[in-house]
Amino acid sequence: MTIVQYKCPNCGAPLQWGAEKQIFCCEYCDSEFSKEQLKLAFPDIENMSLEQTEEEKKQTDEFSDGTSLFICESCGAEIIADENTAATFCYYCHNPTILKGRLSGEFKPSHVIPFAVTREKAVKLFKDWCSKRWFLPKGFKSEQQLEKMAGVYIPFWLADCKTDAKIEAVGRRIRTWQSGDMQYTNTREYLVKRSAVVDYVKVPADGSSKAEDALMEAIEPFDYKKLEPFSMSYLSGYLAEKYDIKNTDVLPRIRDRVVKDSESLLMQSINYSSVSLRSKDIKLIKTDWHYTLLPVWFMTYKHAGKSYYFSINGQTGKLAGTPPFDTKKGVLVSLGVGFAIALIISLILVLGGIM
Amino acid sequence: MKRFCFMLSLFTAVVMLFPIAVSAKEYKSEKVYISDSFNHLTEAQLGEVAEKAESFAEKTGYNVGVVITDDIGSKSEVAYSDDSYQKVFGKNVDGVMILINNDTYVDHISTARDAIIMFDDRRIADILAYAHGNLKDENFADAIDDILYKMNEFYDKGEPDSNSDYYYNDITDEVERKFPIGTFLMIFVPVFLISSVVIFFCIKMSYRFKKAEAARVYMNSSATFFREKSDTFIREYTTSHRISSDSSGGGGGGFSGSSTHHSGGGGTFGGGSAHR
Repeated sequence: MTIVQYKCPNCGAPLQWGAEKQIFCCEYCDSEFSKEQLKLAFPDIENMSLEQTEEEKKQTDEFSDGTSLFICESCGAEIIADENTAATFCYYCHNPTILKGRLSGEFKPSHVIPFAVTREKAVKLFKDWCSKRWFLPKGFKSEQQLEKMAGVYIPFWLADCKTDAKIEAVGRRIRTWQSGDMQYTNTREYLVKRSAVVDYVKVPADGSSKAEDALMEAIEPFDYKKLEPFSMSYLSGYLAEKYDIKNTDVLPRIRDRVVKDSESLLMQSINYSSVSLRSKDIKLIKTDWHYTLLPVWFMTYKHAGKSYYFSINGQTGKLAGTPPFDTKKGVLVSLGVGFAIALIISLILVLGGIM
Repeated sequence: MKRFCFMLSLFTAVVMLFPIAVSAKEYKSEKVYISDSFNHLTEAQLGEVAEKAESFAEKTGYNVGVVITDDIGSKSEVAYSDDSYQKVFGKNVDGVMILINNDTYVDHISTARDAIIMFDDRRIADILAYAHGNLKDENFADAIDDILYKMNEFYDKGEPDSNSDYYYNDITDEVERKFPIGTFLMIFVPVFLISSVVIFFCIKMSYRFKKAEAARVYMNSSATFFREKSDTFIREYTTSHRISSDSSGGGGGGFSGSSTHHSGGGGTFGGGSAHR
């Protein structure tokens, strides 16, 4: 088979990963299965190779633009997926569908963090986030505005790396005192040297060109204690992507982050009235890579003809995105508060006889 | 009969020998009061002073009181002058009282109601300074003339700048500061504009996209170590500079506005004194 679909052993309906209970659930008969039970129920799937056989490859129609055509094993409908999609839904019967062959070989993740935030909770988190923002346009967070929402396993490169950091600076200790009508300033200068090996574990960088880097960084961190060895079953009920950006391509982003942090660590160890940096030498000396799938909810809200994109960490619920800003409301409030401040200050100065 | 005539003669002689004080000179009209208890003015001088005072009173609408006395009793010149004015003209009525004090030689001018605004402390000082010569020489008629002349001059100039922000409040019977609307707007408008702009941009900035966590959250502290942490003393130096002296612009003893006080009778007065 070219696709993998988990069916409930009791009723045959699709089985999906339940984020709330952290087990596999059947929406129709409410049956629940643990990971171990699933392995026992689907030994063939769990032990199968993710590589497509030659025959399976022939069954899959590949198009020149990289999209592929799969046949849904539940209803026989055709599923079109781009070259990076690893899990999706059949557009007709809505069965969760995992595309075999997409996560094989170099594309097979070593680990995955399963979804822990349900769709309903994600919507609630978003509404709570919006309610704290007074300057959103009216009606922005209504259900009708939600254009698109999808839970996606995004491919991430996690880097274990070390930096060798050295800085040299001049630190000054300044003391002032007054004697009569003279003010004295005493300065003691020190040559400050700091050198350290800084170790970082699993610094993430997304490996998908579809996911906006800044948005993915903004929903960090993930709790890596919940990393599970990869199993296709976690993808059931969600979308998934394989990487299309190699680890070597994300290395500059990761290097910039850790180098900047290493410098900051060394500078924080210097305690003087003023510090002048003379030289710095920070190198990345070791990098080990892990290829992982991490859960993210994507939401698209439409307002006044414009789309606004938000992402929610599918494990922790942290939200990121730029909401629209009601300029008119902002101006009115600013004028109101400015008026009050100006009135108070003016009255204090005038009535106090200062002016 | 003989006895009676003798007594009458004796009485007449005594009267002639010991002159009885002629009744004190006094002039009183609706707006002018002049008291010369110890006859420092001749009748003619009193008439002239009264005429000038009436002219001033008619022009300004102020009551004018003049008291020349050799005995102010236990009161201060300020209290004596204020009380005299209040006794004659009433409480908090526009006017001036000129006290020529031949007792302690501290002459005083009291001002009431709108006259407090018209004649500020500096003007009072100038008036008394102008009349100082005649006061010292006890040419009181000329001194009063000088005082009225100077008052007239100041009245023609209008309210002094020092009191341009003040007015007499009929409700509270106090000299109070006018609400300086010009100054208020000069402060209000720029503060309003600046604070509105700052607040707007602060709100807008809070809607900006929040950047990623620092990589510090991924640092493994147990595997991180410092190889070198050295602080080597290079040198030490001390600089000095003179602190500029505090130029407290204290105004060098200048006047500012009208100082006011309350009399024993509860009236509000301004005014000033000068020692001969």
